[in-house]
Amino acid sequence: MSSLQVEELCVAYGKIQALRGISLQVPSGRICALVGANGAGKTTALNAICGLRPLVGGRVLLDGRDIAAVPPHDRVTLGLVQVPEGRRIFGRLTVAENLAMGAFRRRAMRSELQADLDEVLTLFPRLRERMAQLSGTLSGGEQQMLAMGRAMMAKPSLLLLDEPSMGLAPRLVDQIFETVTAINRLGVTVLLVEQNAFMALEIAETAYVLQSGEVVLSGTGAALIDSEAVQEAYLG
Amino acid sequence: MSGLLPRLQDGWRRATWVDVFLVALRLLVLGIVGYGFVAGLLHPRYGRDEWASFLVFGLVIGAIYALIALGYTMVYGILRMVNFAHGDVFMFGAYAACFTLIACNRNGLLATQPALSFALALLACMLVAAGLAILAERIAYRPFRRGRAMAPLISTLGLSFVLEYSARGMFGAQNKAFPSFPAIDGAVLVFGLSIPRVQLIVMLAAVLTMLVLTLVVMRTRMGTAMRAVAEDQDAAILMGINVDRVIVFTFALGGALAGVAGLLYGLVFKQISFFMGFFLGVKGFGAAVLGGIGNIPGAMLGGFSLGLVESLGPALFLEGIGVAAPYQLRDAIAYTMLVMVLIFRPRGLLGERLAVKRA
Ligand SMILES: Nc1ncnc2c1ncn2[C@@H]1O[C@H](COP(=O)(O)OP(=O)(O)O)[C@@H](O)[C@H]1O
Ligand SMILES: [Mg+2]
Repeated sequence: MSSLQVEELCVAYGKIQALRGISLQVPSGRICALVGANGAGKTTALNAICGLRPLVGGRVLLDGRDIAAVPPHDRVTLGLVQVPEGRRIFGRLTVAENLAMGAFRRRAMRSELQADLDEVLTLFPRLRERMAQLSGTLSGGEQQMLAMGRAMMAKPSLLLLDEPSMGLAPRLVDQIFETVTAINRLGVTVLLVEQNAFMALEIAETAYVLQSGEVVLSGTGAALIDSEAVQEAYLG
Repeated sequence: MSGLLPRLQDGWRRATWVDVFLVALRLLVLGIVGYGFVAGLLHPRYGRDEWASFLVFGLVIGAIYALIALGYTMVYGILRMVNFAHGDVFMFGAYAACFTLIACNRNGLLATQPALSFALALLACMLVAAGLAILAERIAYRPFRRGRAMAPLISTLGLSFVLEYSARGMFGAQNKAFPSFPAIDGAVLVFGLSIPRVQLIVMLAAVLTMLVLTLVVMRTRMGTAMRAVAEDQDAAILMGINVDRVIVFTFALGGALAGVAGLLYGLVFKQISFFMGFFLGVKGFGAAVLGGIGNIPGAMLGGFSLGLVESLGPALFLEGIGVAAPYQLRDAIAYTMLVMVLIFRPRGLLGERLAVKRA
């Protein structure tokens, strides 16, 4: 379990300011939701936290420690793992190879990795019979499960999820949200980005609403569901 | 809707003069090849043994092209960039092997322990070539990583000249003789055909090398990471993969293969020169494009196809047409085939359609 603290984060694409100083608190062991319309800057925020985007200003603290000096590929070893938007699984690798890439930085015994693999496959039983299949041939739902399973193989203490329900049938969406709570119960802190705001707010203890690169609202998930601003933004 | 006739009509309406010219060119080349082929068959000039030796030689030179092509294709697969200094990495590998064998010859090892000498030469050419490839990545590619797409092309081209003229300065402008080795002289009978022993050894070594490469790429942790980085760099970083390290590994692997190719080339052709990296580099690059650049089995297939066409082509259809000196036209045939295949199939034999880049 890790806590995440983001302070006054600013990120720009060229001259365009995508994030104008956002601050977030994700307490250890909780689920925190980050919601907002398309283009609000949610993906940019997650990528900046992972180091894929340079910061123009602000700080990212993991368990109270500034991680600016940690290169992006080493942040995984701190337990900071992202499931990116659009899944981004390796389509030409098999399901088993994708899962192995999740554990790329683990220096664990073979038996320990096997136990973790079993745990992931219990979470996503559909992947078990598809281990030898090329992941590009999986259905959208299965690909999302693989993306989450791959991230779990890294043993995250803080998991960032970018729109895990995007493009999935309603029944699968329910299943994904259930899995997110199950992952959280395993002791993983979760920062959940969603456009599917109501479902995200339902499972989140705390939440932030992002608009044009700024946090416009924050509070408990339950309070935000009832707030006028969210009702207005998402129900018209 | 999609019947043949409407499609033809539609195609005709949209055709430009360039298309008409290209179709005519294809028909012309196919016609010449067909005519030469038939005429050659009507007046057979070669017996079974000659054909077999053309075939084996085609496979041998094809294996060397394939080894070089693999380096181009692996680097392209990850960086979408062509390393023009790759041919000169091959050339330095050949010199490293040559000097090792000369040293072994001088102290008598070559005569008493030919297998050990071969192993030493193999080690030397792989180390030197892999080291040079790593150097190429560091000085000609990495500084331009975030720059314009053309910069690394120019810098690797520049490095190619630097390597060629350093080799010329160090080793001389004249051809250098590869030490001959009693252990690889002579011929062996295979299925009643007499095949030079050196060609068998070279083919065996090349095929084993490609097998090892396939195992590395398909079965090891680093090989899997290589394929992951080739597909999606950012996703690979999110898995904790150090992309820089994977790139260096890829250059080193491609360089080592080119080094092996250098040794094998020297064994077959018995002499090497500072300038050969250019010709063999172009052939290897052609083979990579022919197979579908970025595709590893494609590079192997492309190498063997190019070697076979080059070796069988002159006898197969140039003799029939009555060309006076068909073997002078080997390269012309090779490149014509390359162009023809690319006209019919721009992505190469095994290449995938160029995917729309992720937004
Ligand atoms: N690679 C990029 N280049 C330029 N602008 C970008 C890029 N990615 C995102 N943006 C811009 O940054 C803003 C935030 O985008 P993003 O973080 O993807 O939003 P969200 O994930 O909330 O939909 C948008 O205005 C978008 O157009
Ligand atoms: Mg997004």
